[in-house]
Amino acid sequence: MKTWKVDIILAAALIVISVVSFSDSRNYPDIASHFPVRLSIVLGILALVLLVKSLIKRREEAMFTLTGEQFRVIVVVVAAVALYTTLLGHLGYLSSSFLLMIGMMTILGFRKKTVMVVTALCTVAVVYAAFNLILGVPLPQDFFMAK
Amino acid sequence: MEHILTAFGDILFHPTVLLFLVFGVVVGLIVGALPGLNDTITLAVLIPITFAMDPKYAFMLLVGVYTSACYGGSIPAILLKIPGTASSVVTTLDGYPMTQRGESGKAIGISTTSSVFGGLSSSLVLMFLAPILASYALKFGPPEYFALAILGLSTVAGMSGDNVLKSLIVCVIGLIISTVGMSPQTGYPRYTFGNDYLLEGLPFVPMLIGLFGVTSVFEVAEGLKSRVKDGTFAKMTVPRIGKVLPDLAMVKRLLPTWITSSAIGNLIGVIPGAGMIMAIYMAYDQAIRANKDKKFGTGVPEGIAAPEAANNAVVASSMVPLMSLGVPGNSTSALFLGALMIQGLRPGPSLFQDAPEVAYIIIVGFFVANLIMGPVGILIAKFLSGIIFRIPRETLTAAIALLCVTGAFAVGNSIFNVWIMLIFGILGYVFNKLKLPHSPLILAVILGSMMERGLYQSMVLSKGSLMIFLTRPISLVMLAASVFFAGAPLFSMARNRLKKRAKRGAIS
Repeated sequence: MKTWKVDIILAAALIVISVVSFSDSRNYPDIASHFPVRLSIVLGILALVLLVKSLIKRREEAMFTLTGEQFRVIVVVVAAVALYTTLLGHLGYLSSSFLLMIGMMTILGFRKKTVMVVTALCTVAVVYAAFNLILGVPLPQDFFMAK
Repeated sequence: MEHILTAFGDILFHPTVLLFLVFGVVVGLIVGALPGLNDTITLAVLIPITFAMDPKYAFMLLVGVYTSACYGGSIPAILLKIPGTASSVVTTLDGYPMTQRGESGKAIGISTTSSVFGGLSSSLVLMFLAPILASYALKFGPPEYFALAILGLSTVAGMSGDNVLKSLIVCVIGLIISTVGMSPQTGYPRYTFGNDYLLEGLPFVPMLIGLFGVTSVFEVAEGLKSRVKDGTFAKMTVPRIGKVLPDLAMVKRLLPTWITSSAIGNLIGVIPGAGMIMAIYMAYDQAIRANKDKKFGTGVPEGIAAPEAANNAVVASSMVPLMSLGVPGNSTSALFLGALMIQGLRPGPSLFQDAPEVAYIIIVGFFVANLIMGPVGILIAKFLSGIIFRIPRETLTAAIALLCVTGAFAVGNSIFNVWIMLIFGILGYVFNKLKLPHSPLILAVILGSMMERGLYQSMVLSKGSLMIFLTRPISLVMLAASVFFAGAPLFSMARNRLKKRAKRGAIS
């Protein structure tokens, strides 16, 4: 996508954010609203400058390239981490982390199943040992560990 | 001097004392290298354990952890682009590109020597200049803190290259993010949208893990997917770590950066509440200014040397106000205050009369810990980097993702933190695509609350007059420096443009 077009979309998004931020913060009590209200105004002004600048300069070079395949893999990785976060409280740390490891390796194209399972088990065990057993960080308990 | 020599003897000739110090250094390196864990969390866990210990053993353990944790953070920052601690955020900028070029050993060597240099400089400051510097630090009131925040943010201009506007936009977004949660003055909830988790503001460490760790997972995933097609992803070469320590030519080259960055770190360290993040950004900014011919962010050695020397220089110097006045310089030195108190000791000037053997062993402990940190750090880093490059990228990326989510969770034992990490991971990825820099965001989030509090309290003090910032000498000097730091790059950019135009005019 061309740089100037991306910058226009970015400027428009920033203007929306500054308007939302301004309308929310001006309802705060006087002292609490001072700083955020001013910041919202400054953000709006800077976004307008970006908008005008990109319209005047019209930089034609591509800002970034992202193929459909690459976009899909990013969406799937985001979904996997979101699913993990949801499952963490229900299944517990060990089970959901094992599933995350398997899921991530599969998404990324790793195909050796035995290596995958052994790696996932070892990694989860090492991270669990480091955080929970050695450093005493309480991690969500698994259903099979519940007393 | 006699006390200092006695303390050296206590540490070096008593194997148990030395062993506790070495153990502390190793623990610090490991927790520093694990995202989500840091020196503060570890000290908080260790202090109750030290209750029953001999004070000498207890403080050697704590000093060791505090000294090496921020250096430990640079190891994953260089090898994986995940800062192990917040203080190694800037190290990723030039450290990871060096790893990508197959120069991870060199990068680790630079990080180690810079950290040791910065750490030793602050130990010497703690040993000899503590009372003088502490008296200056106490002159900091609200106007000075506001000016300090402005000074910190002014470094953004130097780091932004040709993209000043986008850096400013990100900076303002960061400042808005810093206002999320209860207002520091009134306690009124801002931008919380009814979510109780947001009352204390957005958690900083999960935010960092997202911006760096998760973003790098997305980028590797994106890259791997394109490589899977041509089948080349399996042919990863293991770079030779080779010689780690920099040669004499490199030491000579880095020496000015080490000296400047250590000075910045020491000055920031002694100011209570100023923090490590400000020091690393200011040091990085100074390195950019001093090396205009080098393209920072592409794997420049000075880009690693500056933040690493600065963050380690903050460590011992943050103990200056605690040791000389009983005022902790940051949250970690506040834990030292707790540790001293549970040992029945009173921090401050009386500590040097009541228990000189403890006071001096802490001070000298920082010096010795820095000397130990060098070889131990290189051993651990070499071991880790030897493993990391042999792991297939898909497995390593999955493990990084697991480490990120576990680290984010560990900060406050909260699943909400994992969501924040994911959101900031997506944001970081989008920022990279839109060529928006991360650094101003982090700096603004850190400095926002200090800036707002300083501004509000100054206005109360001066009954609404902005002149308060110009009538106080320290504040005036810092604001003048801010104008210089922000103005200089803009001025040189404008001058370059005029030159280019003049050239074009001459050609046509």
